[in-house]
Amino acid sequence: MDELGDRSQDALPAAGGEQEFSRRDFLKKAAGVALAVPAAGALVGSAAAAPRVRVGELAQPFAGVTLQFAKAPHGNDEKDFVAALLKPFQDKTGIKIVHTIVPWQTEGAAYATNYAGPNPYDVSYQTSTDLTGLGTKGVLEVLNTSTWLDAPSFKSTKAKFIPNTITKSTYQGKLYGLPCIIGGTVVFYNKDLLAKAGVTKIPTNTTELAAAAKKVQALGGGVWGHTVPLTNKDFTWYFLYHDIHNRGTDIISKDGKSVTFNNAAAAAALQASVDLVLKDKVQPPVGQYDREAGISLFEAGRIGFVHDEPSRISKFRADKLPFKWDFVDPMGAPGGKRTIFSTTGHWVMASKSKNKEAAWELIKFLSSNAFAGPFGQHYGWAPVRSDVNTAKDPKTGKSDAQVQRVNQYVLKGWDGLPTGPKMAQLTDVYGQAIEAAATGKMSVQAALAKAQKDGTAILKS
Amino acid sequence: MTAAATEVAWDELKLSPEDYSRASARYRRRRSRAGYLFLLPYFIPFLAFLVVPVFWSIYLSFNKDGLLAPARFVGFENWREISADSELTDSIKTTAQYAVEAIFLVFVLALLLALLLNRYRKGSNIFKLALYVPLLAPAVLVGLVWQFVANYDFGLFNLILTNLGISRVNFFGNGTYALLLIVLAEVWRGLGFWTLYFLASLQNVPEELLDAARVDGAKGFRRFRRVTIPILRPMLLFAVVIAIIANFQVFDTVYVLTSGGPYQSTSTLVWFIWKRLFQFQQTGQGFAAAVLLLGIILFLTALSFWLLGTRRRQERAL
Repeated sequence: MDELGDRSQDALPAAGGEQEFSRRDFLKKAAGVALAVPAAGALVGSAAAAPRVRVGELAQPFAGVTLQFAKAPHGNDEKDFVAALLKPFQDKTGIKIVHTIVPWQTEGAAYATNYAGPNPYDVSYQTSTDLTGLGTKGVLEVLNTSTWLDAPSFKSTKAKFIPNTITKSTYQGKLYGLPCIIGGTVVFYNKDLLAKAGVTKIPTNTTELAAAAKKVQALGGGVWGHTVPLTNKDFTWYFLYHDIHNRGTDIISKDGKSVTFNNAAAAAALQASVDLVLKDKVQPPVGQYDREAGISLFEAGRIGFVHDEPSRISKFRADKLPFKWDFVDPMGAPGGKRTIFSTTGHWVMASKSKNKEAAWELIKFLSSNAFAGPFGQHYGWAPVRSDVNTAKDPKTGKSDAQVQRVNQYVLKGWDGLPTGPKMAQLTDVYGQAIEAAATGKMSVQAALAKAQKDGTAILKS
Repeated sequence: MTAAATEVAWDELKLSPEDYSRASARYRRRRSRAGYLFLLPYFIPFLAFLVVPVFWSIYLSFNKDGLLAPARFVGFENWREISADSELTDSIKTTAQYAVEAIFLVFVLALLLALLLNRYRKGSNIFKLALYVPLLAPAVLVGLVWQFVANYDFGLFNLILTNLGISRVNFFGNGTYALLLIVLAEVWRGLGFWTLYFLASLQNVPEELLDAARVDGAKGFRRFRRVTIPILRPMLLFAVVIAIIANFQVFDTVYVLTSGGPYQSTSTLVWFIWKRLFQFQQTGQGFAAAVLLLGIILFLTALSFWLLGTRRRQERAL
């Protein structure tokens, strides 16, 4: 089984004329193996286990197995796109995959109710925010065991993972999901608008960004200099976190035992973001446009800079924007670092899954180049494995320069979110602080002080 | 059959007090059994979907987990945690403010419309239908409609304001306006139901009492205050109770329109519960807050009944 799994990329259908086995054939063969092995005497114990098969020896070793697969989408086309990528795997292994789209806004409720039931999704996608919250409840299989990730046959593949992705996703020695993508954020800009405003140099830090955004804003006519999500609903914390790192701090201590929302560096990061709205007035006030409306405004040529995820690349390409655009990595701190932040995406297996071996096969396939390569290329995600290339366009076979650039940004300066069971609640509290300060309801100091108090209470609970 | 024979027969049929009591109990049991059998189709789901979950929620409010992981008894820990959470107190205040505003506004408007429909009956069916249609729309759709109504660039409200020469309002960026928006959306949705409810109630006011008041010289508003309102009082009480229960559970409009923002200014009690239960996996805290909500609703319901009882007692004393 591990032999098959370690070569999941090879699970693509061989060219033509392959012999097909029915479920009955498979069971007959399995029964034959089960009878023959005890006769060998010493192997009686292993005879009771599931028959070990090699993909080269037996097509569709999991014929008849159905896996429930769930994921919050990275694009409106994801279901069809994923179906096309999974088809060869299904054909080869015989696993039938039922794909459920779980909307981002309701994924907490959807997964909680699903995992509470007797037949949860066998394989699903979880970000580092939710991963350990679910994992520590016992609903996710611990993957860093000798059965799965640490199996000798998986050793060579495991060595290809970027170590930081595994480290950041491990909580108290347990890894509840196999890292599969690194997201990241980038700052898109409207080249035509910038040229019109006389912005000749693309900003590299938050001070330069404010100055450039002011020039764009001065164009008038309903044009805004900059936009970034600033409401908790739109995961505002996700877009500020890199600046927290840039200024040499974090929102949680290294041992995960205390929150560090309220310090001078974190306040400076938040102040820089708030100033764009309240002081410089180069960004629409909170609530005027949500995240999607901000993207629409950018597409309409009414925003100079928009800070969002690289997954917008495919949308901007498809929508054929009527102006020249490009992107850079998120702004650095003045005199500080220039990092890129994202949560990590993981493939997880339900601990109640009745088909764990098949689920593991699927997880390995999903993390392999056969899936993660084109998937990452399509949505602009950086790979977590050295043997996965998300910058290669599978249609043309050529390198995708934009995605390649995203990968360079991510791989040179990525810093992830330390995982923990309370992380979803802590980032919510942090998001509330950003929203409070950006609406002017509280000063930056007061908002962070409240977040510090609430976060401390959460960690104690 | 002769008269004498009849007398004998009646004598023979006479039951001792004990026999009578037994027969009477048997008869009542037989009748009750039939009644309970008719109630059974309601009683089973009532038990399964209301009584059991309520007691289960109370039990889980004293435990950690219980949904994804096995329940662990922690005493009053969840209650201590939520009572120290400023978001809960803010949510209770917001819910109360929302409920008062929404109930007051919808009752005033519905009563006015019901009085008009009661007075002018010609073509009233069209208006009744038009008023009732929003109630048929799912809450999510209502939320989406109001998102468009309040949109900064092309929403109806801002179009009206700009035409009046007033600057646009950022409804979703201001807590007061955002809550008002939820109130208006819910009033719009509930107006048809309450109008028809009050209309049905008004049609039960005896005409002869109104005529008598008219003969005594009572004018329109006086008749309404002295005759109509006292007769409507039980129906009004029922309406208040139902409206409190419904409005304290407001969630879907909040979810679609504001997601509790900006900065928790539209975070209601059910929104708080939902976040604890499903976003943060803090099930114990979620159930504790749910039990608190149940307590608040029960208290307000009891208070409404008590107030009505006091009023009735005062009226009887007079």
